[in-house]
Amino acid sequence: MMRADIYMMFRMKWLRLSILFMLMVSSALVAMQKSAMDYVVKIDRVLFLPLVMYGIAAAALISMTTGCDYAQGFIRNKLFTGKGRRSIYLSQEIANLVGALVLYCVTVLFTLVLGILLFEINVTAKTIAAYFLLGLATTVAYGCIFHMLAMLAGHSTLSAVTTLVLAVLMLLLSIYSNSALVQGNGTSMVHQFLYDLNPTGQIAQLSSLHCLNPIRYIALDGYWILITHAIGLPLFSKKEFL
Amino acid sequence: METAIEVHHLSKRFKACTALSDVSFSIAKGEICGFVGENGAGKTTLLRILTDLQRPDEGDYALLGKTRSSGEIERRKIGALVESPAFYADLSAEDNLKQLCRIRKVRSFESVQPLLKLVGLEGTKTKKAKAFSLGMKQKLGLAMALAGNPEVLILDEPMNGLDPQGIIALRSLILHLNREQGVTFLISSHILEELTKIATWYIFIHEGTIVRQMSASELAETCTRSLLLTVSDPVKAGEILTKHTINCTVMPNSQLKAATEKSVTELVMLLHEQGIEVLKCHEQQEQLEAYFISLVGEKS
Repeated sequence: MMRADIYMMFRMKWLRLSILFMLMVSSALVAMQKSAMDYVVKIDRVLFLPLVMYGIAAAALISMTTGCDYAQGFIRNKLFTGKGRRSIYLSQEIANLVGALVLYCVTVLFTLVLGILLFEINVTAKTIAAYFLLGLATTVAYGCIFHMLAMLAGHSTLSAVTTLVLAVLMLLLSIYSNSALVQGNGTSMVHQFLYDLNPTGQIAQLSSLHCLNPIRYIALDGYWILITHAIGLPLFSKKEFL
Repeated sequence: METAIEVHHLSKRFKACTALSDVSFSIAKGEICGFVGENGAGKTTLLRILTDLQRPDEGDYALLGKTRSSGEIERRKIGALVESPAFYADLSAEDNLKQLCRIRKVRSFESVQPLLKLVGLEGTKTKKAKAFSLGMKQKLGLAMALAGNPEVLILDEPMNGLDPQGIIALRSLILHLNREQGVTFLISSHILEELTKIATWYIFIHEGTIVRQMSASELAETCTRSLLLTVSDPVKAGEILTKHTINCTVMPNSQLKAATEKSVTELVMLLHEQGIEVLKCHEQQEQLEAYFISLVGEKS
C-alpha cells in the first residue's frame, strides 16, 4: 500500500505544483538579494532563505494529496486490502514525508546551485550539510503535523484550509519570536523555546545559518513526531466516516 | 448452510438518535439480499458498519465466518460501493483501477481491461474520471468494488444515476456474478421493482429495527394474490379467517387483507355465515413496494 501511496504522490499534480511554487519563490528571493541590496550578499544569506515559504508549500501539498485519501470511499478501498487502520495511517504518512522531502531537497539544491553561480561562497560544505540535515528533521516534523491535521479534516478543501491557516500562524509566530529575541527582552527563554518548537522558527534559524541549540532543535522535532503519532494514530483508529 | 454475513444484536446511536437497535440477521452464501427500508431507516449506517467505516456501539458481526470482535475478518474478500464511489478525478478509469490493484497488492493489471468491459467502460480510454457522467462514475465505482474478485459485495443504491440500459446491464452483471462465481450480494436500493428481479432474500428495516426477513419465494407467496376486503368488523373477520388458516392482516379503514387462493365467493360466504358484512372486495396482485408499505404501515 505504501508503494501505491508513494506512486500517487508522484502521479498527482500537487507535488509538481508545490515544487514549481518553491522554485519561483527561490528565484525571486535570489534575484532580490542579488539586485536590490545595497551591500554585497554572500551565499549564507540566500541558501535556506526560500524555505520561509516551505511550510505553506508543504501544507498545500500534504493537505491536497492526503485530504483526498482520507475521504470515506478511499479509506474503504484501503480497508478492503485487509490492512489495519494503523498501517493505512503510517503508509500515507510515509508517502507524504517522501513528497515533503523531495520538495525540500529540490528547493535547497536549486538555491544552492543559483547561490554558487551568483554569490560569494563564505560557508563550508560541512556547515551546509549540517544545516541541510537539520532541515530534514524539520521537514519530517512538518510532515507529521500536516498529515495528522489532514487526516482529522478528511476532506481536501477542509484539510487545505486547516493546514494553510496553521502554516501561516507558524510563520507569524516565528516572526514574533524572532523579533522578541532580537530585542532581547526578559522572556527570551520562553521565546527561544517557542522559536525552536515552531518548525517555521526552525526554518528561520536555517535561513540565517544560526541555530540556537541544535540538540534541542532535533529533540523538539522528535517531540512533534511522537506527539502527532500519539494523537493521530488512536484518533484515526477510532474515527468514524460519516 | 454457510453464512456470508451474520449480524448479532448490533446497535448504533448518534447522540440522541438511535440509528440501529438490536439488529440481527444472517445472509447465506450465494444469496442476493435486497435490503429494503425508507430514508433514515438505518440501511447506510449498517452498511458503513459492515465496511468498517463506522463502529457499532453494541453487538458484533461476522463476514465469511470471521467476526469483527476477533479481528480476523478477511476484508480482501469483500467489495463495497457505499454511497458515492471513490476514485481519483484526475485519472482515467483504467488508471484508477490500476491504482486500486496497487493498493490491493494485485501484481498484474490483467484484470483491469476485463473489469472495464464488464461494466461497460472499455471505451473511455484516457478520459479523466472527472469528465464522466453520473452513470459512468457509478459504473467505475462498481468496477472498483469488483476488483480483487470479492466473495461478498455490499452495494448501497448501486442503480443511482444509471440509465435504463445501465440498470439492465447492472442487473445482468449481478446475476452473472452470483450464478457463475457464487458472489453473495447485499444490496440496498430504493428501486424496489428492480430488486424483485434479482433478489433471492429480503431484509426489511424500519426505524433502525429489522421488521422482517424472508426469501424471495416467501415474498412471492405473500405477494402473489391477496384479497382486500372492506368489512363491517375487520377484527372479528380477521379472527374468523385465521381460524380457517387464512393468512390475513387488519388494515386501516375497515379493511382486511387476506392472502388466499380461495375464491371470492367462498370467502364472502364464509364471512357472511359469521355475520360479517362484506362491503367491498377486490383482488390485489401485490408487489414488493406495496408489501413494504403495508409492512411499515403495520409497524408505524
